[in-house]
Amino acid sequence: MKNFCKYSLSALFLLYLYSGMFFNVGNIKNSMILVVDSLGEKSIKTVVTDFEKEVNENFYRKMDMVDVNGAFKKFCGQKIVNGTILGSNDKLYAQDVIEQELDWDRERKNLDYTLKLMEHAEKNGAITLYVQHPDKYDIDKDELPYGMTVARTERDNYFVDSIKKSGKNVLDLREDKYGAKEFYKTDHHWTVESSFSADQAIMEYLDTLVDLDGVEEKNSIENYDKITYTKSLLGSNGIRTGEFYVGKDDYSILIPKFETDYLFQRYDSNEKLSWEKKGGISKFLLIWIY
Amino acid sequence: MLRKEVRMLFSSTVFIFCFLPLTILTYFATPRKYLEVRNGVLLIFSIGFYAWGEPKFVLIMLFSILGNYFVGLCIDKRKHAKLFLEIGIAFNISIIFIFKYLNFAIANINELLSHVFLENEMVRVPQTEISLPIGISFFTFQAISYIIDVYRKKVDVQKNPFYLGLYISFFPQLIAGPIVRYTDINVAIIERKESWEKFNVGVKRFIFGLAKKVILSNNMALIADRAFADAADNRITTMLAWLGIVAYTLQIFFDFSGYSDMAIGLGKIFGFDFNENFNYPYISKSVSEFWRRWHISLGSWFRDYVYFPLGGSRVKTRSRLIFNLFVVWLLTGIWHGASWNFIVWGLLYFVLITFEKISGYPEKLKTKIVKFLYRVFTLISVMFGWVIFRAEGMRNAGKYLFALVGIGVNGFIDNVFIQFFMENVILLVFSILLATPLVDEVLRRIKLKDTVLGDIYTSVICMLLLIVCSSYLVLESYNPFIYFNF
Repeated sequence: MKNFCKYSLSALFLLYLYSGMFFNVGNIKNSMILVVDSLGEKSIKTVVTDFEKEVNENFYRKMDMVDVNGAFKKFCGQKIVNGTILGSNDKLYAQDVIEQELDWDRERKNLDYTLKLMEHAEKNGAITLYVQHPDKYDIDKDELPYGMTVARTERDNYFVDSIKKSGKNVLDLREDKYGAKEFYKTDHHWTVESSFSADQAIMEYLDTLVDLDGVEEKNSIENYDKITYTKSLLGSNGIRTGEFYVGKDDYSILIPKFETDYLFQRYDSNEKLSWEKKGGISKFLLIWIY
Repeated sequence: MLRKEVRMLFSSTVFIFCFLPLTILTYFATPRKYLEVRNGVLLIFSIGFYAWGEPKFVLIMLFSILGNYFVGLCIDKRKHAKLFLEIGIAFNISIIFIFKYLNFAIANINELLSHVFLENEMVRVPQTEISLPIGISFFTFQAISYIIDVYRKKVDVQKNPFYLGLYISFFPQLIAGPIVRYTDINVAIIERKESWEKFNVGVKRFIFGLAKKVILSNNMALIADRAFADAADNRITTMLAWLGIVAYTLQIFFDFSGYSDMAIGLGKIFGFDFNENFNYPYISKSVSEFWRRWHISLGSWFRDYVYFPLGGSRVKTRSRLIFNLFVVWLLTGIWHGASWNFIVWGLLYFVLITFEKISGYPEKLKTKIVKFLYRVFTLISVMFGWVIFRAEGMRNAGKYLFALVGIGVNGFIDNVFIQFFMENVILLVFSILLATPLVDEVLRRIKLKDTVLGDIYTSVICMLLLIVCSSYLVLESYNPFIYFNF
């Protein structure tokens, strides 16, 4: 027993090394094949760097490594982890977006284009509506650590204020009353529920501008079945930190109870129609897409 | 001063999951009675290790091995031994000069010429395209110690060029030391006994070294890099300057001692015993003591092959003593890199150590409080030295040193400091604790060593550290290479 315990470290170390090697044999081989082809074109330094990158990129069960890394960084109390930033609301934000600086010349040009497009459409008899979608990065300063700020909020305010001033229709979904501000903690996307609320708000607004058919039926949540997959989603930020860092998100889908009639078509790489089905959205979402 | 180098590092997935398992497998699959074959295995893998990313530099190393092999044989014949020793030393110094210092020398000559010939661009020496082979300072110093020891008859000449090749190129100590003397491993090359006992100690040492490098040093590097960059851009605050200097002090210690630990551990796995290279240098009571605890193999190399031959401390005049110290510390600075920063850094130690030698401090100091203050002075001096060592150019070193006392700063404290401090506070605390013998002392007192419970704890902690390190490496976290100058 004593000897077993004494040498257990060596045994575990060797086991770890050789399992790591064994399970990555395919990875190493593929990485080598990939970089060997470029030997003539690239310097040996670049080829070696590419090889190491490939091996790391395709490391066996890499997500387990991400989980370990995230768990360790959580233990260390770190809030900036592998390119993400943890807010005080327990949500993850992409570091590059937080640190992004706005090019105001470009934003002014974008605003100008938007206004021109709206005017052009109106001149041709269309009704226009500028919808300002909520952004996960429209956050208060105190929700981010270390006094960080985000420039995007300022840009969105600039767009909404300017377009309102020019007398155009504006729907600012960032307002609390629309209930459309929920985002996944591990991803930058809206939750399905939030996007449904946003859809409701847009439809209602449009209904005031033009009389739309069946808005009430489509807009009522009662007319949908909701299926929730708890702790099932690790979004684009979550896959950088692993599930032990902030956990996973619940993910829901909404299936209309009312009749829907869709035509689904799939085209191959030669842009030829390869598959076609007709049916309701539930069949598409739950059966065909998988 | 950090550069992305394409090298096989101990702290890389390719080394841990490919190179090391293959080396261990091939080595131990060879029956023990064929020690020559086992040595051959180690030599081949060592050359492969060095060739990774920059194969052309292998030729330089092989050239050095062959040159020193023949010089050793010539010295051993005892006819014109001194002449051959001088040729051997000149040979090694030429190699290191050409590959490490030539461009630096040319840059300085051009600087001088620019003052003499002002605008005339024609009167300039062209820079060469020669790049620095990694680890050249380490293997060249090992080679020099070999021929000197053969000359001094401290060791028998190695008649097998492959064994000499193994001594110079053995991959654990090849690129970042410790500087192993031939006298330390000549017996092990021809008769060594690997054992599970040694293997186990080696594994433990390797993992602790890896954790020092990957978890502590690399994270400290993030703080230090930001602080030095901000200082160069004139946007540093006083607090960030202090955080940066503390972080760099820890980074370089854990980086270098981590590499030494990994080297010693790998050596043990294959049955070799390398000498210790670090002994908690930051607790030193004096600057002289610091250098007996920091990079011990380099300090003792200069002591045995430069300082003592010059007469050491047993000289008749004080001026001779000062001259001897000047030579040693100038060379120590130059050894670390071809830049004025390293020369100034070396001369800083010349000043401090000369002061201690002549004044008799801190031994002369009487009260505990004064001795404690001298200990603080030592640590601060070492830290200020690291600023000169780390900064890019003397101008930036000056800026950083001024920032520490609030001159030329962008305020006292800012969010950048808060961010870097808060993000790393736990790692900073661990780093500071592990830079002292406190943890060792606690472990010694609770008497866990050599108990079943102690072995279980060690295995669990080591494996957890190994897995965490692997996660950092697979995710390609920041992994700077600090030794490219050496």
